[in-house]
Amino acid sequence: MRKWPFTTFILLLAMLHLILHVGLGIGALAPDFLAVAVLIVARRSSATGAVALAVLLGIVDDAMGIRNLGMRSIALGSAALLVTWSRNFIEGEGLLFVMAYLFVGKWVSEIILGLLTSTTVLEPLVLVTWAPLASAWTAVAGTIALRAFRSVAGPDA
Amino acid sequence: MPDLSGTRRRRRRDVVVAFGVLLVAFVLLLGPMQWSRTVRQFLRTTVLWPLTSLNSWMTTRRAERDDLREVRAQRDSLAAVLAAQAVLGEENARLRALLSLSQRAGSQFRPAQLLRLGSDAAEGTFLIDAGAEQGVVVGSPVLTVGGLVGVVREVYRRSAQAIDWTHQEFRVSAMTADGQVYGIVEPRRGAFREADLLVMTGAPFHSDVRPCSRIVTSGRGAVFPRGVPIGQVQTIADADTGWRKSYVVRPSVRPEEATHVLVGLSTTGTVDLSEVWDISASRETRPAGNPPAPARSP
Repeated sequence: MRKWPFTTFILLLAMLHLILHVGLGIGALAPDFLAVAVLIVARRSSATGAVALAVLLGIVDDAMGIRNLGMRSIALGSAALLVTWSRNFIEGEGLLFVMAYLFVGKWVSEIILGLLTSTTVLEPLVLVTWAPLASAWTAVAGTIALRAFRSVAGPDA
Repeated sequence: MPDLSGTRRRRRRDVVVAFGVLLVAFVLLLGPMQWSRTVRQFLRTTVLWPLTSLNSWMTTRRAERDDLREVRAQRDSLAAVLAAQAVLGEENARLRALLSLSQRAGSQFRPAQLLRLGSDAAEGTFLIDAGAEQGVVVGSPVLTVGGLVGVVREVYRRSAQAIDWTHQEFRVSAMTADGQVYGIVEPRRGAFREADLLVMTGAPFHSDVRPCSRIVTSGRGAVFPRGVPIGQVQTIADADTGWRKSYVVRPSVRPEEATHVLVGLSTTGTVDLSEVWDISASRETRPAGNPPAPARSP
């Protein structure tokens, strides 16, 4: 398996996320490509690699706020750990599997982030209303991106 | 089964190292704010600098594109001109009002452009294109013609990051426009962001603030200038038996609508801006210990 096309793809996802969210200021309407990148890496590499990427990207993403760095890193890193653990008993490559996998992974990271930041009683409501919608949108966008990557780089990439 | 046990050992080591990496994030989260600030500043001036510049460029281009649209509309048809002029007029009115407010508010304030970032971490915050070189300091208030938008939290050389009133950490000492009731205004999350409101807490139990009463900054604590509109009372939020009342306040400025703002320079906390917005609270109601420094009259 060639490594550089995959690495380039992950870097492109991270850059796309930052351009959409920070550069263009689109915000919640843009999919969370950082979560997609971390979740895809978590399926293919070691737990350490996935968590390291999650921590790094989380810090970059958190750098645009004013709170202490680390919340997003912990949320993404914990989701990545769960995903690498889930590899032991859940396998699949199909379109629906990838979509469901990205959906659940993103939702889990949103729940962890919500638990870390929650200060009001309304936050749990957000986690079962807005978060699934955002997760579904991220899952669709992530699946399209992954399909596009495979069509360009080949199925073995 | 040496191979299997080796694989298991490798996996276990991998998970342990992964937890170690995750621990770094925990240390950063729970560590002193200064660590995060240093890392953040480094990232903003290196990796994220092109992106914030892009955001600034896009905001400027958007404004220019709007102007170009105006010109095309004028050329195409009178109807389009009329429709476009309404938008232009609105923009003009806003900028003129801001300019006029800037003159009335005095030299303690300077105009700035507001940049909104789309990242989750930046929720409830915004960037302004004025920083330490322009005299912006931590705690500088951010205003529009409508009233208070937020307060500066971090200052860089030529930019600053501020929180708007929807941010969970936002607090401002407030009073009714007649200066009779004092309290602390803080945000209250709505079911969605556009439904966010403010709540004035800590008002005396015997107070009876009518709906539509104006709430303005009181100047207590010398962070915000006195007399800046915050919003209007909508209803009573709750009343602790025999102790205090809270009032729901409809904010006078929606942060998402602000594009150009005025930012306070250095010691605006002691300024009295009551006259700028025709606030009727008399000087006698000013709390002791905060002598007013009147703003320059037009």
